[in-house]
Amino acid sequence: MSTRDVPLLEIEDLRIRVRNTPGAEILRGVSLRLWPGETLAVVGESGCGKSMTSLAVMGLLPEGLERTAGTVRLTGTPVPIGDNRAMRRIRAARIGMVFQEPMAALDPLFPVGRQVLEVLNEHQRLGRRAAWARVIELLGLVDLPDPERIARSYPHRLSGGQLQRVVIAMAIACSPEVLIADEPTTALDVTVQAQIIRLLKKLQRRTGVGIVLITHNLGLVAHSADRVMVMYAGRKVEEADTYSLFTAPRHPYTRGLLDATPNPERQATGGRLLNEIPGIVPSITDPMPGCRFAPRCVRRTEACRARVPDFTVVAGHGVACFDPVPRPGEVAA
Amino acid sequence: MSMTPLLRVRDLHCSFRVNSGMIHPVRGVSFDLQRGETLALVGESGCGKTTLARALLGLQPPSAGSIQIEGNEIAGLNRVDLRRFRPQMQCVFQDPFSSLNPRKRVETLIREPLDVHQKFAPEERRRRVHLMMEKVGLPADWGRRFPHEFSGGQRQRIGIARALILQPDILICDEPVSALDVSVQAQIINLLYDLKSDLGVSYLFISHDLTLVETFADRVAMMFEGQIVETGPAREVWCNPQHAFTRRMIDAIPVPDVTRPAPPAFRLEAD
Repeated sequence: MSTRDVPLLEIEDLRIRVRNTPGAEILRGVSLRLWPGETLAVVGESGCGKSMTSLAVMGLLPEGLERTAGTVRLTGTPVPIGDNRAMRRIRAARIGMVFQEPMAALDPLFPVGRQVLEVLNEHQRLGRRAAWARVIELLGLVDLPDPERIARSYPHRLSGGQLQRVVIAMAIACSPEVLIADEPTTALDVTVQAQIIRLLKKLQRRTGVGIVLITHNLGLVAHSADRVMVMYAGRKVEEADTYSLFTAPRHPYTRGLLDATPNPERQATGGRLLNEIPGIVPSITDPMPGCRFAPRCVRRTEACRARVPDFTVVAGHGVACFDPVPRPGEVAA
Repeated sequence: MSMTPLLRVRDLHCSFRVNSGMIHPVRGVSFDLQRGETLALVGESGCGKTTLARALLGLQPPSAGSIQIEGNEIAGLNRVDLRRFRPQMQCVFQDPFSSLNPRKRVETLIREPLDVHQKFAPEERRRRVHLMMEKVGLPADWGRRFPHEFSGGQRQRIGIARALILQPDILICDEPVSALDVSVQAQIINLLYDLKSDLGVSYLFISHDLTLVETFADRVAMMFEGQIVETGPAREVWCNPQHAFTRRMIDAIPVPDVTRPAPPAFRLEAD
C-alpha cells in the first residue's frame, strides 16, 4: 500500500463538550482527512470549533473541556490525544503548530534562536554545535535575513512578520508530517500575510508537509488551499476542492459567507451594500434538534428544524443540508 | 459657505517622546472631508492612522498643523474650549469589548454623552436613547442589560448608538469591524451606510482593509509612514493605483474569487 492511500491526518467523529455543563457541546462530530502534500483550509466564524479541532488533535484542550468521542490517526496509527506524556513525543516532532499571535507563542525572556534550539533538544539528539548550526539553517529556511543575528535577538526586537517566521521555523524544526496553522496571518499586515503564505507553500513544496490552514479569511483560502472544509456551530457543513467550493457552494451558510465577503470585483445583489447573513451564531448550549444554521437560513424548511441533515458526499463534494443550493445550471427542486 | 469643508486638516504633525527618543507617527497630513462624504483612510499597522484619529478627536495634541471644523480651528484648544466642538465629532472604536464600561447598563452607556453635554431634559434623553437603539437595530427592551450580555456585533451597535446620540456631523470610525466575523461585519457596514443617509453624518473611516472600504467609501486616502501618499475615488484607487505602496498592497490582497489568478505576492514564481 503506498502512502497515497493513507491520509496523513485523519479525524473521526470528534466530539468535545464543556465539563459539568449539560448540553454545552463545542464539537458535534467532526471528521476530516488530510492527504500528503495537501493544504486543507478549515473555514468558519468565531465559535464554530475550528481552533478546538486543532487543539484536540494536539492534545491541548483547555481546562474544563473534555472529549466525549472521536479518534485521531497519523498515517494510519492512532494518536494518544488523551495521554499528555505520549503527546509530548508527537507535538512538534510529527505535528507542528503555528498560532495566530507570534508574540504570544514566544518567550520574551530568551533570544529566539535559543527557543528554536529548545524544540530541537526536546526531540532530537544533536551535538551542541550541530544543533546550533541547524537553528541557523532553519532561520535561513524561513527566509530570515542574517540568521546569526536574528538567532541572538530577543522577540521584542523583531517585527510581527519576522516573529511568525521564527514560529514557523520552530514548527518545522523536526520535519513534522503535518503542520497546523491556526490563523497564522490574522495579526499581520496584508503584504506580510502574502509573504508568510508564500513561505508556507514553499516549505510544502520542498518537504511535502500536509498543512491544515485554519482561517476566517476566504480570500486567503481561495488562493492557498487545495481543499476547503466549512464549519458552523461545531459541525462540518460543507467540504470540497477549493475551485468547486468557490464556484458552486452548496450549503446556504457557505453561500452566505462568500456573499458577505467584500469583493471589489463583484457587486452585492438585492440593493444592499454587502449581503449580510441575518442573526447570530447560536449559543453552544442551545439544544436545537435540527440544523444549527436553520434560524439564519434563507432556504430552511420544516425538516431543518426537526433533524440534523446527514453529511452527504457526491462526486467529492460534501454538504450537510436538506435543501442545498443548486449547482449552476441545475434546476431547483 | 459651501466652499468650506466640514473638516479641514492641514499639514498635521504628531510626535511624542518615548524611552528611545522622539517618534513622529504623523508627518504632515492634509485632507478635506466634505459634508455627506465617506473618506476612508487606509494603511498598514504603524502608518500613523490611529494617531491621526486621536489627534483629530483631541485625545492627543498635535505637535503642529491645523484642524478646522467648518472653519473653526480646534488644534491646540484646551480641554474646556474643545468641549464645545466634541459633540460635532464622535468616534466608534475598534474593540467593542474594551470600549464599553462593563458596569453600566446599555441605556446609560448610550445616554451618557447627552448627560455629559447636558442636552435635553431627562425625559427627552430617555426618548432619544430608545429611538437610537431602534435605529441601530438593538431590541428596545434590552436597555437594562449590561454589555457582556451582547454579542460582538451587538456591542458595536451600542458603540455606534453612543457615538451618534449627540447627532455629530462627523463620525470617526477606527477599524469598527475588524474584530467582527464576516457575516456580522456586513451587518455593521450596511447599518453605517444606512445611518449615513438617514442622519446626514459624514464618515472618516480608518481601516487596513482596502477591499472593504472600496465597497462603500467615496474617497480613499492611502497612508504610509505618516503621510498620505495617494488619494482618489475608491474605485479609481483600486483599479488604477498610482503610488508604489498602494500597488504593493493591492498586489498582496487575496480576492475571494478562484476564477482570477492569485495575487502576484502569493505566487511562488515571484521568488
